[in-house]
Amino acid sequence: MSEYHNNNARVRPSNQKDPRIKMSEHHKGPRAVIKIEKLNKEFGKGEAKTQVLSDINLEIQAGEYVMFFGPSGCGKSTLLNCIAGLEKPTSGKVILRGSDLAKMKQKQLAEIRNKKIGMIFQQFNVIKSFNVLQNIALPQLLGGLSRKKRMHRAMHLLRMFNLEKFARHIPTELSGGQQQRVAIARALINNPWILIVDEPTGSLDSKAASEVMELIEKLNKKSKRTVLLVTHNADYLKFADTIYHIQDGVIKDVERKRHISSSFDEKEHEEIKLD
Amino acid sequence: MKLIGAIEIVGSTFVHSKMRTFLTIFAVSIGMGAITVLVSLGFGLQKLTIDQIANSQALLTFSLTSGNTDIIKIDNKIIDQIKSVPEIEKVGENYAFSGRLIYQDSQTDTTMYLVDQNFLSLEDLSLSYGETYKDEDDDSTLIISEAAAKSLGFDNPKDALGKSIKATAYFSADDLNKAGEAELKVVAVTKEPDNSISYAPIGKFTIPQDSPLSSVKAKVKNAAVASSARSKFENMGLSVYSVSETINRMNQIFRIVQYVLAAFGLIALGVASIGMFNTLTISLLERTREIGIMRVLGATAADIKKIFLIEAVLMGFGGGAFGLASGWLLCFILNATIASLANNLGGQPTYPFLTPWYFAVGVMAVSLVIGFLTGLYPARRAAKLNPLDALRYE
Repeated sequence: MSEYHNNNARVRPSNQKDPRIKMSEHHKGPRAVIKIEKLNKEFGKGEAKTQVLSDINLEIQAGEYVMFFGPSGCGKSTLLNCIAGLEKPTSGKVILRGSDLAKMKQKQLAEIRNKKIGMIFQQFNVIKSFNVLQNIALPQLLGGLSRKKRMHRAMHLLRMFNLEKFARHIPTELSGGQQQRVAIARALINNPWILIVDEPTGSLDSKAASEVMELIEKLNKKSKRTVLLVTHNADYLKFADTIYHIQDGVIKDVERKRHISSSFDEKEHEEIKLD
Repeated sequence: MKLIGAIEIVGSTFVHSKMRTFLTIFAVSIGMGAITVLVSLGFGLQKLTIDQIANSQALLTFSLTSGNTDIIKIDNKIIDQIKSVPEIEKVGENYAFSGRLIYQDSQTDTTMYLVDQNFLSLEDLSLSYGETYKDEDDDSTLIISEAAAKSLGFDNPKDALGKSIKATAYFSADDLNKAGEAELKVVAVTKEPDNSISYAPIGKFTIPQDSPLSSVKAKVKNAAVASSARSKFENMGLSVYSVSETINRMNQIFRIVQYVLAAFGLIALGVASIGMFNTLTISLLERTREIGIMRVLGATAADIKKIFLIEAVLMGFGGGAFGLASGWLLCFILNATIASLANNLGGQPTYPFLTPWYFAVGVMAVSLVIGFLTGLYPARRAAKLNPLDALRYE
C-alpha cells in the first residue's frame, strides 16, 4: 500500500463538523468530493483475467487539481471511468459527495454524468451530425431543458470561449484546438462539480495544447472546479495540486504541492469564469 | 430526455444524412403508394359495381314469395299479416299470369304481371322508353318489354309507345276461358330484350278471388329494422329475398379482390421495410461512437432506445405520408384520365379508383407500426451497447 496516508493529514480530517460547509443529511461529517476505498478492477475471466487497478485509496477535495500520471496502460483511464460511473469496480467503493456509486441505479449515474461531472477526452468526442452550438447544448438536451434555455446557455459559453462565429459550423470544420474547446464548453454547460479530463492534448499541436491546458487551469483556479486529469506528459505536472503516480494499476507515489481547503465547496455552483 | 429532445436529435441526424434518409423514406413510400393505388382500385370497382345494382330503395325492399312449396299461398290473409308488420312502410302486390298481347295482326305470348302502384314503384323497372304511369285508372297503363314490342312488329320498340294493345291474362292454366281482357295503351318499354314481359294495373282485370299472389314487395322503414322485419316474414313461412344479400356476397368477393391487390402492395412494402431495417442497422454502426458520447454525457439506455425508435417511426411515418399522398395523386390523375376518355367515347364517366378515409388512416397506421417494428431490433441493440465500448468504436 502506498504511503500517502501518512503524509496527509488533510484527507483524514477530524470528525468534527466543519461549520463552513452546508451539508445535506447524507454528508454528515467531513468529506471529500471524491473518496475511493480499496478499489480493485479486473478485466476478463479465468486465465485471461488481468488486474487493472489494485487497492486504490484516495480522497479528492473540492477545488483540487489532481493529475494521474503514468505510462499508457497503467490503469489511469480506467480509474477515471470508475469515478465517472462508466466502469463498475470489481470491488471497493467510489464515493461521490457521500454517495456510493455502486448503490446507484443506472438512471442516477446518468444524471450525475449529466449534471455533476464534465468529461473531456483526447478524441474531443464531438458529434459530427450536430453543429457546434448543438454539441455544446447536448447535455442539457439530454437533461430535458427547453431549446431556448439551452441555446442561450450554449451561446454564452461560446462567447466566453471566443467561438461564437463557429456556432452553426459542423465541428469537423474546426481545428483540433477549437474542437477541444467546444468539448470543454460542452462539459461545462451544466456547471458541473468536477471535470474529468483524459489526455486532453494528445491530439493537439503544442500551441493548441498549451491553450487547452491554460483553459483547464483557469477553470480550476478562477472557477474553483475540481479537476481530475490523466496525462503521460510530465510537462503538465506543474499545474497540479496533487499528483498520483500510477504504475501497473497501483498508486506508487503521491506528490502534494499545494494545500487545498474545503472552503471551495460553496463556490462550485457559481457561474464559470475565466478572468 | 424529453420526447421533443429525442425528435430534435433525430431531426439533426436526418439533416446530416439527407440522401440516405430520403432514399429510405422514398422506398417505403413506393410500397405504401403501391398499396394505396391497388386497394383504391379494389374499392373503386366495388363501388362502381354495387352502385349499378342497388339504390337505397332497393336495399330496403324485400321480395316475398311463397318459395318452392305450394303449402303457403300468398292470399289476402297473408297480405294483411304482412301489412300489419310495424317495420313496414309500404307493400306492393303482384300477380303473375300467362298472357297474350295483340296489336293489329300481330300477337305474342307474354308473362303478364298485374301489379299495384306500390309494386311498380318498388320494382324499379329499368325503362328504355317512356315513363311509368301515375294514374292506375287511365288507359295508358301498359308496360311491355322490348322483346314483347319486337314480337308485336315494332322494329324500333320506341314506336310501341301510345299504341293501343289488347292484353289478355289467363287466370287458370287448365281453363283458357277463365281470362281477363283489357284494351290498354303502351306507356313505357322496359329494357328486357329476351323475354316477353308485360305489366298492367290489377284494377284493369277482374282477378278471381282465389288467385294467389305471385310475389309481394315490402319496403321497410329503414335499414336498422330490416333484419327484424325479415325474421317476421320468415316466421310466416315466406321466402325472403333482398338485393342487400347479393350486395353482401359481392362485397365479400370484392374484399378478397382487395386483399389480393393489397398482397401485391405488401410485397413492395416488405422489400422497403427490409431496406429500412438495413438503413437503421447501418445507422447504428455509424453512430456507435455518438451513442457512446451521449451515454457519457448523461443519456440513459432508455434514451438511446427512444432515439432509434423515433428515427424508425418517423421514417415509417414519412414513407406512409408520402406514399399515401403520391398514391392518392396517382388515383386522382387516373380517375380524371379515365373519366375524360369515357366522356369522349360517349359513355358515362366512371371513376375506378376510390380511397376511403378509413383506408387512408389504415395506411398511416400500418406505416407507423412498420416503422416501430423495424426500429425495435436496432434500438434494442443500441441501448445495450456498453458506453465505453461504444466510445472506443472506430
